[in-house]
Amino acid sequence: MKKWLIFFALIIIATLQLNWPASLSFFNTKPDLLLIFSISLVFYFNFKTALVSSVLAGLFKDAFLPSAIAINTLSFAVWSYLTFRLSSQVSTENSYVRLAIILIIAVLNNIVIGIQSLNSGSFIPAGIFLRSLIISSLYTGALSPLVFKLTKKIAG
Amino acid sequence: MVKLERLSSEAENLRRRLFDLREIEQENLRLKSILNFKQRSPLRIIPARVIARSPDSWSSSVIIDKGRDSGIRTGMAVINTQGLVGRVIESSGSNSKILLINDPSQGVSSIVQRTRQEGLASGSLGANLIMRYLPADAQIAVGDIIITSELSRVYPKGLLVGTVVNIGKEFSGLSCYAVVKPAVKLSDIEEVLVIIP
Repeated sequence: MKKWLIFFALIIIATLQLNWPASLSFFNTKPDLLLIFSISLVFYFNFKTALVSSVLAGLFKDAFLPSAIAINTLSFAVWSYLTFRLSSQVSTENSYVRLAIILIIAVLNNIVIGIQSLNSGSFIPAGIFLRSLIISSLYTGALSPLVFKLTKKIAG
Repeated sequence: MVKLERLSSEAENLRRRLFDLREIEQENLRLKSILNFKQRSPLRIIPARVIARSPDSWSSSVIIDKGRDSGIRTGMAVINTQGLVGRVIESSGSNSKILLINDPSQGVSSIVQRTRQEGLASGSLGANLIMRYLPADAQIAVGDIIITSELSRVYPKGLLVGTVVNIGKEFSGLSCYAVVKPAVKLSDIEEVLVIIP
C-alpha cells in the first residue's frame, strides 16, 4: 500500500514541478522537488524502495527534458546510494543535518547537469551558470522541509 | 445572523464567479488574437496549448497538447502572435516537446532588419538572447529589430526574434555581441502556433 502511495506522490510532485508557477520562480530558477523527495525516501524507507523510487523520479524528470542523455535517472540513484552510505556513518536524525545533505546534493547535482550542458556545446554565460547553480540549490534546500513532511506522512 | 451568513456566502460565490469570468475574458482575448493572426497570415499553422514546462533550470522547453496526429513533426518552427518561440524537437501521438529560443543549445540564424547584418542569436537561459559572431564594425544599434534570416534551415525567413537592448565587445576585441530581448515573453506563453512547411 505504501509503495502505491510513494508512486502516487511521485506523480503529484512531478506534475507540480512541470507546472511550477512562473510567479514562484526566482531569477528563472525552480526547486528540484523530485530530488528532495527521492533523497527523503532514504531517511524514512528501506534502501531498496528508496533506490527504485529515485530511479523512477529521475526517469520522470528526464522524460520531460530536451536532453538525449538520461542523466537524472543515473544521478538520482547515485545520490540515493551515497545518502544511504552516509546515513550509516553519520547520524541523520537531526533536521538540520538532512537540510545540509539536501543542499550539498542539490549543488552537486546542478554542477553535474550544468557541466553536462556545457559539454554538449551549449553556451551559458558564467553569471547565469552561477545563478542557476546557487539560487536553484538554495531554493531546493528551502523547500525540503515541506517535502520531508510529506514523506514522513506517507511513511506513517 | 443567518441572513448575514447567507449574504456573505453569496458574496463569496459572486467573487469567485467574477474571477472565473475574468480568466475566461483573458483567454478569449488571447484566442481571438490567435484567430486573427491565423486568418491574416500566409503561413499554414496549427494552434496548440502549453501543458507543461521544463522541470529544471538548465533547459528551456515546453510540452504542447498537439502531436503527430495533428500533423506536427520534429523540426517544425513554433511561433505565437508576438514572434518566434522555438522549434519542435520531439513529437508523439498527442503531444510535442518544443525547445524555446532561450535554451542554451538553441541558435537562430538572424539578421538585423535595418542593415541586414547577419549573426547567430543563441539562448543563454536568461531572459535575453545573445547575438554572436558580429564583426567589430557591425552595423547594429540598440533598438534594432532582429528577424530570422533565409540562411536558417529550420525557421522561415522574416520571423520576429526580438529587439537589441545592449551591444558589447568580445574579450578578443575582434568581434562584438548584441543582447537581444525576445519579442515573446517565453516564461508566460500559454498558446503557440506550429508552422507547417
